[in-house]
Amino acid sequence: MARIKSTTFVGSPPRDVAADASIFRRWLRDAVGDVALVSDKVTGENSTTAMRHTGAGDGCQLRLPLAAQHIDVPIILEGGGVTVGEEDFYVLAVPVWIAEGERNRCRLTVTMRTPAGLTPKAEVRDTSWGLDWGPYDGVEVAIDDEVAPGAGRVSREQTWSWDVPFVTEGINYLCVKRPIRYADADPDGRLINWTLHHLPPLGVGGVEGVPQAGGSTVIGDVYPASSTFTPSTDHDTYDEEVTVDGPLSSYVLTRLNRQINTLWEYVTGAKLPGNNAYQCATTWNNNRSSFTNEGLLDFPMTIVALGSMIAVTGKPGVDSYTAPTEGLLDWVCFPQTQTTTNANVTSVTIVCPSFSTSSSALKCAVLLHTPNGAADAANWRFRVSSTAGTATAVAPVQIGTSNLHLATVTAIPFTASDANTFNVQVAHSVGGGGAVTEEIEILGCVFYFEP
Amino acid sequence: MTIQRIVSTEPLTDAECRSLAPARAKRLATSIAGRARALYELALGTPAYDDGGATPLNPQGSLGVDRSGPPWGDAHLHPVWVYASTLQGVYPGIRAIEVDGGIGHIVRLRARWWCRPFQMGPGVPYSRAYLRGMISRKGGAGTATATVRVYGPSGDSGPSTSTTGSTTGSDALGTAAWTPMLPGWNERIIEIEQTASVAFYVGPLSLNQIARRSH
Repeated sequence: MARIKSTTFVGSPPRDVAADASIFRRWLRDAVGDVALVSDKVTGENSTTAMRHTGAGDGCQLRLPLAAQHIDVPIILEGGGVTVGEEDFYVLAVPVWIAEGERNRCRLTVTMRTPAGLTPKAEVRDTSWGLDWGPYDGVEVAIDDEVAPGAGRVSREQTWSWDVPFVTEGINYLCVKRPIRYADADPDGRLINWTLHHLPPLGVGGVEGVPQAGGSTVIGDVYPASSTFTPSTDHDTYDEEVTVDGPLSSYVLTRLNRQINTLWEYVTGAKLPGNNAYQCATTWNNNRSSFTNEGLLDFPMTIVALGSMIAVTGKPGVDSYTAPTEGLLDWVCFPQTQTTTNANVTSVTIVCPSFSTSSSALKCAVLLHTPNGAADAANWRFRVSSTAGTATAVAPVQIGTSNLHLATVTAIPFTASDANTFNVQVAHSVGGGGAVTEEIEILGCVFYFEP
Repeated sequence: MTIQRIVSTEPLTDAECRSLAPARAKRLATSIAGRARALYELALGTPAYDDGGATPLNPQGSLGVDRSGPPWGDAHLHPVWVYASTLQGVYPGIRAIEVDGGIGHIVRLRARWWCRPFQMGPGVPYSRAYLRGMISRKGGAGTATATVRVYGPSGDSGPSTSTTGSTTGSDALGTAAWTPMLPGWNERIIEIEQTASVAFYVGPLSLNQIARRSH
């Protein structure tokens, strides 16, 4: 017996379903095959590569928002200007992870208090720290104007926005640059928040869709869906059941109707039209608990900015790591001791999806700067810990030939469908316990699921 | 462009499938073959035939389920806004917020985030953002207690609820506080009130989408 499954979608032309049309074997057999095709693509059953929401016939992209972070720190130079003077800083320098199939324009917004006449610029850098896009001025929206009595505008809280193209899947680097001043020129300088999200994709034509009215015109009891979704038995209809000149069996029709009902609940997550309750207990959770070859999804979680760096590399943003007194003291992030004991870089409490925890695809990539030369990154290690466990510590990898490095922690343990508090931690592999010279500045990190 | 292959969303009834029932092509074939097409386009996000697509566009304006909640597929859980912070660690770090002014002391945060498009309706997954976070006693003896509310930009508490976290060390905030969420831009005030004499730190904090099918 041969299981019926379409190689590609077949469908039925309108003439086959006109009133008083003959009941052809053709439409029934083709419909059976088309439904089996969809079932296998969604579940990965029957040796089919499961869809993963990567576009191009592999499921619509998710285009989740990438970042929304509240920071609220001063960004004013302090000290006498001997070591660190007024110049451009990357006030935002973060890794951005773009899921497969989601190269796209993204809207970046950054809210800061800025002095008069200052415009920040944004740029995107690639995996060699080469310039992919920018730097370009932001478009400003003034929110609140602060004016000193008898003077001109002192500072203004503004949100700057850019439409940023990310043309590379995987890791990219997003930077926002602006001059940093002393308090006499910028008394209220502050970095308040930033966001990053996908814009709707530019249309390429040919996809119209048809708006349909909601509700159902069905009269009578709707046949229920199966209580569990089992494609291997639900979507098995064989040639012998749909023969030429064979009877239109109620058994075949009823079973096929029920199969489609079950698949409908699974794919849409909605109750069947005409039903007021879910009937199938199997839900689409992308964790392979129901189907061993189900598609595992690329899934961005959040990006956390942690500090700044002087835009022209080669200089630390503060005068000393041991006892900093000069520079951008509130927004340069670094470890103060060279010890093998892990220190928290940051903590995030975030709810994780229902993905598999047995083979965790959760990763965290940490971006850092070595102002005095790339070799300074060699002995630093980064890891992520939570109550679910601790991922293995990793060493930073140099980005191209630059003074920037990326440390990617993989297989991070997590609790599915619940809040997790992840601690990003740093330690020195050799230790020694002493104070460090200005070796690394930690800029930001990104959390994402990448199977 | 005319649809070249039929599409339908309607299931068949019991009466239409039973033995000896009239085999009406318009009902049977439309439902069976039509729903096969609808499912193909919803699942794979591409027109099933070379006629431009025959299913409604999802909230993003594209074909196929985009996992933004039924009927566009079960949604997945994830954060929509974060305040990442740590009690102590590297310098200077984004520090947890100190609340130490005594009973009634209130600290406020402004949360601003963009929510992906979703089909609005009562109780749909993205219609609410739930607060999650940690508080840590600042020091000394006794239990630190906080009440956290999430307000709309107009200042009224609306349907937001409060949650409390009691701790003698560090503890997770309660899970009850949430705020309504709309597609696109959302701005909220998160208010943290000290409700016992023991001072504490608040952070990290986040707002999250926590439902797969409905609240």
